[in-house]
Amino acid sequence: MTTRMWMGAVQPEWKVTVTGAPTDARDDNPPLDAADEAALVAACLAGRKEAFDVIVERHRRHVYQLCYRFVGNHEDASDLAQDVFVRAYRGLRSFKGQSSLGTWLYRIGVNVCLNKVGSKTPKAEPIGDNAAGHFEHPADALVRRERAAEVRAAIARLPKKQRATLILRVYHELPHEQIAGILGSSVGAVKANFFHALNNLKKLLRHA
Amino acid sequence: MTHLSSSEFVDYVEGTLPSGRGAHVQTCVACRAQAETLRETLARASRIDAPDPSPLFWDHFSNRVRDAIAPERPAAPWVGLRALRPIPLALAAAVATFATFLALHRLPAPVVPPAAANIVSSSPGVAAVPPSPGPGSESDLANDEAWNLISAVASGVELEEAHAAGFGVRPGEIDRAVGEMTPVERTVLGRLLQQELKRAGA
Repeated sequence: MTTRMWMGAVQPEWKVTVTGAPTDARDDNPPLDAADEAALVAACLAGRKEAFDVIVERHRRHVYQLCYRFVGNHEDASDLAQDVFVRAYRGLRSFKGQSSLGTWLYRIGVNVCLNKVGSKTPKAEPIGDNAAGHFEHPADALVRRERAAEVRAAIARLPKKQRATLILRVYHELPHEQIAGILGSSVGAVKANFFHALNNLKKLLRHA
Repeated sequence: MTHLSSSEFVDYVEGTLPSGRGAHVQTCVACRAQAETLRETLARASRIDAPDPSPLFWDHFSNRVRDAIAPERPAAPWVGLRALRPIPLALAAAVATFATFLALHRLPAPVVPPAAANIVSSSPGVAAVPPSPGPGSESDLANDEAWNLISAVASGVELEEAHAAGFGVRPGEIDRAVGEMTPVERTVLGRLLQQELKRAGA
């Protein structure tokens, strides 16, 4: 309720009172699309599953790409990415906000991928897929695919931490500090892992 | 000058090594060869694409995740407790206290519990408790204002709230205890709750 005093040469004896809608009529379920991470997590924990839809929508691409880098094919990557989000949902109460939600999801993703994939050689994508996104001569495409398969197979044979470090650094371009947070290591250890990953990758490719 | 460490090699390849240490690579054959190997391997690994799935995939993926978490338990117990306001807690405490007391020390009707009688008689503005004819019928209960208040409050009391308030009540104990009250006891409990509501400013 607001009260307006008459502003003029002669002030009348009365005043105008405007009564609006009650200001305490707050919305118990505010929109989630623009909500920050903390609000989304709180909404999830309060039982609003649609808040988790927003989290999935924001992070699904990165999580999927991470999984794809570990397994090298769409089918397994989508299954693993789904598993990452299911585990995240189950463990949401353990998310304390000390890192970003994205970092936390990466951490779950790395664990899921390393546990499920192990050191298996990734399955190759079907030939019909044009990953380069433009017209490519079939022979060139074949060579490119063979080389890509060699690199993926070599990455799959790296020790777990080296593999995760290389994927997060090269393909997700995460800073060393964030990788350290995801892997529970120091920055120095991350850099050392990256160094050894590249060295080992070189050796594996030489023998491929 | 010492050779580069593994961390320094990474910094060099990524272009973040301080120029003083970087100068060593120009003069050291071993370090230069190592750095070149790292750079080539990094370039080769970086060329591996990860194709983006069809745009239609993402909605399908979200639906899959939604279906997968549908049977999962969404909320942590402590969240509900954290969101509790003091007033429901106070009411929970009042109901739980009285109900537990009655459950443990069942008083013969229609005698008013001494503790409750003292509270009522010493409270300003609270009328004396009328004599009770004994436990009422179901139709009497439906018209009993105090019973309605107690039912409304008790129905909103979660076991977690009662536990949070420090009362260990078993499931259904509050309902049972209140249901077994005489009209006098319900009147006393109703007044206690009304006092609590007024005091809490609800």
